[in-house]
Amino acid sequence: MANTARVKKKGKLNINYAGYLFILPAMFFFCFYILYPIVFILKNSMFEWATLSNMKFVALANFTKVFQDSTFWVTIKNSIMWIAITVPVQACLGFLLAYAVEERIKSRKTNGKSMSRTFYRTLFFIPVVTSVTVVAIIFSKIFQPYQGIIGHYLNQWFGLSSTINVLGNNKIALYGIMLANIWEWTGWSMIMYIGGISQIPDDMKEAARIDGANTWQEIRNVYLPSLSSVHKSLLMLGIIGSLQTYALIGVMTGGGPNHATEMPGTYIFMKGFTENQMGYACAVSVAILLFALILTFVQVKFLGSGDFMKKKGE
Amino acid sequence: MRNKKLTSVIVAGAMLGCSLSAATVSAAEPTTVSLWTWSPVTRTAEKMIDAFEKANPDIKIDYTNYNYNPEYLQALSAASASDNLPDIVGLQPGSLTQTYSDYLIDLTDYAKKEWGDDWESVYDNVTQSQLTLGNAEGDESHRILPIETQDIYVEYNKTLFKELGLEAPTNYDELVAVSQTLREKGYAPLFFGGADGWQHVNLLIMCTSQISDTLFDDCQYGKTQWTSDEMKQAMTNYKKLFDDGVMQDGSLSSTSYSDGTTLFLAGQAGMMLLGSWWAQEYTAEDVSDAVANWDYDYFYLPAISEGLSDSKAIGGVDFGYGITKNCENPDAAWKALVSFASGEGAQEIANDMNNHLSYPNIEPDTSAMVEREGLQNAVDEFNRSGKDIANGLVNQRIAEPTIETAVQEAMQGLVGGTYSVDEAAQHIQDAQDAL
Repeated sequence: MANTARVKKKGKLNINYAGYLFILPAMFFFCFYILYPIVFILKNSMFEWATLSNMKFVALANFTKVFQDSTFWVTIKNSIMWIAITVPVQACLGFLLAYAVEERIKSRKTNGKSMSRTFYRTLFFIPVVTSVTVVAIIFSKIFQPYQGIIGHYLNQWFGLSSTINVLGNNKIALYGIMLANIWEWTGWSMIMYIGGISQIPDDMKEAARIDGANTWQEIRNVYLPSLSSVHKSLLMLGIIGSLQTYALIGVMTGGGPNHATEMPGTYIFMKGFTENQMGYACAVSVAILLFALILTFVQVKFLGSGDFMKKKGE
Repeated sequence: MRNKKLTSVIVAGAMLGCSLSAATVSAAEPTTVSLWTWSPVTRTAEKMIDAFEKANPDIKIDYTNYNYNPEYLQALSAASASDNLPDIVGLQPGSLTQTYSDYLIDLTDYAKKEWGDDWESVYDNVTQSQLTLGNAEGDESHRILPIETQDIYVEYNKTLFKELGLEAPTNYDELVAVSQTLREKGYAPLFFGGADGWQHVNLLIMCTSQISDTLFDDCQYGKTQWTSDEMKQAMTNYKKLFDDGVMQDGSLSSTSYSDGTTLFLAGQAGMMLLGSWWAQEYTAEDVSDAVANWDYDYFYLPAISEGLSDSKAIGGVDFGYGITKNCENPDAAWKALVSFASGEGAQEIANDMNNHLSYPNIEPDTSAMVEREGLQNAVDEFNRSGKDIANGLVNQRIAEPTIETAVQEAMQGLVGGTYSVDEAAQHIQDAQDAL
């Protein structure tokens, strides 16, 4: 109770000013960068406008248009696919890398010296700290029909056409971008799992081995259950990150061809800044905010809220 | 105490001296006019500004260059919302100008005073029509002064064609044959930056111009339906270019800049959908041999099906400059605009062959240009497209951004196989009907 901001003492309300002062900077940034933009888009989604000097009140007309807009539903479908594919793939690969780096590589020796785990941790984490734009440009070049390295080797090794068309094909373009995303963010999952693996007590692993568990049984019965809090964290961060995807799409395809790779961020930008429909862009933003709230509700309902590192009942 | 008084007197004297000298300096300081734009390219803009400042030492230009999309569009939006627009802004005619029209002053009186009441008549047909593009009915105000006007066509690599025994195609069968040869030899045929929406718009207008000069404008202004037989024929021909292998494989994932231009400059693409701005490559620093020798020339797209004519010269105003209501010294800003449009600044744009000036009869001064093997070839090609503009263009601009997006979506869908010709036409018509 002593830590609460308001303390009742002898019937008199004492306000803990120091406590309020400590949270003031955070509250300021929250209000300025999060609350104000949300209120701004909520209000302005009910206007038709391109600049603030010329706004016309249209009530909920923008929202009616949003829900009738087939491209908006394409962005929702793409977001769901993005979450369904990239989050589990990144988690699986991240776990395998973490397990290999933490539990396997350390036993190998070269010239009598242990190979450094730090080297592999750093190596696999490099894509995470690389600029998204750089990653997007590199993958665009890799996929490029005439000068791309994939086409070059497919042609050289298998005699296939060197003009492989990944990002220009509306059926597979999204998967091409997902590949770039997985390459970039797997290192992040790996680091999260490394943190989780370091928390598993050695005696638990030894007990499993004494009981005769093979590698697969050890992974299934010791590692995976012990890392449940990491799985949940990665899922939550993955969903948030997916809904915020912009730069990869923007640089690699711009949302095309014909909106096949459109995501909420790119669509909102296109409506607002390219087509000058700011009111409509605000309405799409509000709709995406609602979608994010629904996903968050589902997560909290099925995975629990609060500290993911704690187990239920703790 | 005495020391304190003495110090106070010295400090007061120093402050007075400083303010007097500041006043003297400010009296001599030039007026500063801020300019935000994405065009012309930085090196040309700097020369244009230097020439103006040299001729007008009392005015200084504070220039900021942006990449057009998204940086410039974002900057304009944020600056207008916070009432921080600069004195002069670069704008495309039509929707972009109309978006910011409330923030721009009417330039009509300035223009009349400068060039007379019929000042508009010097411009080519399309530039004239784009001066007030998108204005409400009865609104004759001019929010921008056009700076550059362009001509769009197919540029090809003459040297590569010669090496492969090819000639510039004069009909569609020859175009298909040339493309086939280029493919067989491992080159990209006609490079099309299908990831860029503007390439789709330009190509569709080329196809419609083979049927009628006014077909595209008739559709965008509601005189003809997008689902009309003529427009469907243009779209069928559009698709044919891809089906017949004229365009390179994977064109929908390629950008003109830099995918296409990199390939074209490296001599790995035989042709490319470009325009009169391509000549600016010649005046860049550290150019390749192909550019130094100017291995390039252009042609208009041959008639794709029987009974049609070759594509016309299509184009229009690339960009213009407007003066914002924030400008404290519009007379100084107007002086700069006149220089950039038709004076010493304009001559620098011409010498860099950045693109054609909208104001007529200003040609590159070859004596002021970098001497390279292909100088005359480059200038000849540039001047030829300038004459094409003077002879009349087919409008390339779409007044309504929603229609522009719908055209881009429809053509991407048509080429990608998600739309049939009927569906593509209906998609644009639906967008038009929803306006």
